[in-house]
Amino acid sequence: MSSLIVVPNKKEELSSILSKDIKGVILGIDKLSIYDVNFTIEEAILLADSTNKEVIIAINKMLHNTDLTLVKEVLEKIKDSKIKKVLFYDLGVYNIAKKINLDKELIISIEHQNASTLSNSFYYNKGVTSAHITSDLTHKEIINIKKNTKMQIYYTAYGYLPIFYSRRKLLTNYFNYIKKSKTDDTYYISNNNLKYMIKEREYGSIIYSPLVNLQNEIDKLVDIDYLIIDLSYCFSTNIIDKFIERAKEENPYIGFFNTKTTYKLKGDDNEK
Amino acid sequence: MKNKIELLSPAGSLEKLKFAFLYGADACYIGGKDYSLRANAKNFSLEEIEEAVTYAHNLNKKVYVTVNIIFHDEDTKGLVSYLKTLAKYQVDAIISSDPLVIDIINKNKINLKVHVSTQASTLNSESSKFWKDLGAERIVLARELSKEEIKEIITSSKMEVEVFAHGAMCSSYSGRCTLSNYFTGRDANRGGCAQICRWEFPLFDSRGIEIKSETKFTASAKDLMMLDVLEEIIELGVSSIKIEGRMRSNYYVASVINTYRSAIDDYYDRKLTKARKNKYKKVLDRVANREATVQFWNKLPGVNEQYYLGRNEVSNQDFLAIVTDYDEKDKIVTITERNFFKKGDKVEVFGPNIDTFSFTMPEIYDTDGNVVEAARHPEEILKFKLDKKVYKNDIIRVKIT
Repeated sequence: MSSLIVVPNKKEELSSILSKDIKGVILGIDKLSIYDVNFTIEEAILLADSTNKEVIIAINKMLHNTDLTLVKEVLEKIKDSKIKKVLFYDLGVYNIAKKINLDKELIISIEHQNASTLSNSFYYNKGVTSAHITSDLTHKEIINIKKNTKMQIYYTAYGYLPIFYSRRKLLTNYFNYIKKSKTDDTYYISNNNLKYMIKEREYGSIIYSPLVNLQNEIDKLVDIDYLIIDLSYCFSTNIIDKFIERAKEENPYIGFFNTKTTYKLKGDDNEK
Repeated sequence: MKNKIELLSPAGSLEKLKFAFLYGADACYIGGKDYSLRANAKNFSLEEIEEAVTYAHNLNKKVYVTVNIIFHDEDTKGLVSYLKTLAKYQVDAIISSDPLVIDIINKNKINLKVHVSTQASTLNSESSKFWKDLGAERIVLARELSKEEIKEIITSSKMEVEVFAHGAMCSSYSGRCTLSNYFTGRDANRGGCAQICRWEFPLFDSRGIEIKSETKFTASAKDLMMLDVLEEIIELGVSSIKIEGRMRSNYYVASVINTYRSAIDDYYDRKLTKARKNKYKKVLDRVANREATVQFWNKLPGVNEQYYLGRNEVSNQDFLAIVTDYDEKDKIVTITERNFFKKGDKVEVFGPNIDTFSFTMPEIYDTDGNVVEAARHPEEILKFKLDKKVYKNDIIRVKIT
């Protein structure tokens, strides 16, 4: 049976979220996270002290050398705290955690870069005992990884998934080119009647998938240890209750849950 | 003197590899039929990889093989055997971003060096050290790094560092993009990238209202060209500069490699003057048919580092012919035609054994000795008289002014 982990949409909603039947929350850390709502490490530590739910911190921004001092500071600060786990993208976080002998569970969240049983086994043997599995895998592939590794598996069952991450300020550049004012940090493009959100931040631009919602598939996910409900850019927290109640939704977008990607063109005549 | 910086060329086929070496590459990177990004390229069979390595080693040059897909479970079958075969063929290194490949190499004691692919988007000193501790010999750094960031990584990691010097840019951090997966079902991280970042889209605000403009939104980036900062790259301690483009033509590879070879040699001979650089840049500008900049080298790229009006590519007709023979006695050049030219056209010839020179195309003959008005048929064998000696595989192109 999976446990629910929630990425909050607003700081004000945190106590309401924590009051629900969930295992814990993931808090993005200021200047180190790509989540919509982020927390200072002090806020995260305080929260961990005040709740019996798991508090996981997220360091999932693309990290440049200028970020490393802050990463080290954050990891040092949580050493004696009740924060249980660190979700990370950049392998530099792993290195720093080992250097300072951080005794916390590490969750690798390197998205598309960790997509097989063997790569998960590799990270497990390096001491990373949990993996946030990329959402471009099929259900069958995920179950295969779960069955064949000792990894604790985290999987996003609800949310907008980052599917493109650039260091460029793509919206600013575009509006400069067309000589119009950029009035927001959020715009949209569409393809096949699906909307894709573009967010521009100080660290660059991210394009997100359509809203993935696997609430109808929850029975197939019972072997997955943790289902993440990522409420970033969502207005309501009601979806948590729907997952808890196993409510059904009509035709939600489920991404690659049942759909394999293709990549190989056959034969020697590929080059035109 | 320190070792010369390595000039690393793409090679999408054995023929391209031979061209790249002929025109001055120190090493080539190639992809096998499996486990390699650029699934659309022809790529090399195992037999061709063996032939490529033997060919390169006879020239005292190197071959690196990309094993750079992000593996799904269905892709790992046969990988151990494949890596062992590459080791048997004495491939100089593999290029990979999935740590399972290094893990397999270590566990099976396979004698292969590993270069960490740019697909891993290595951006900082600590992640560089992660790969070093794992046994990687070289990092191909992310293209999003500035000069200062590259320098810090070289200094702190003490690893070989390779940087991209020329060619197309991903708009996203490499390996962190699945637009292609979502828009076309083609897996970007397993070689199927459909280059969605180059597509154009209407842009909508949060209320769903379209931003009115004749120019659509795109993430498309201009190409990379680091010739302007070549001296700085060398002096930073970069071990290797990479030219992008395993799917590019022989002409492209020959032109770009020949130009960077000349520039690198000029630098070490203290001859890389501004005038020479300008001449080289003109060649690169002409052959790439896309605008290029130094991108992240000295600032965050802005509007001027992006494309908004399509890819601005036109089919390049500069490549006129390739020399197949030179008769020194009668001073007759035999060529294979590639694009239209005629008597009286201003052309130039370049090659690994000559200084580029220009001339006016004289009378052209077919193989029966008949005068032809113009070279109109690609692959046609033609001849003309030229007093200056040229060599097999030299290239004749439109004169670049």
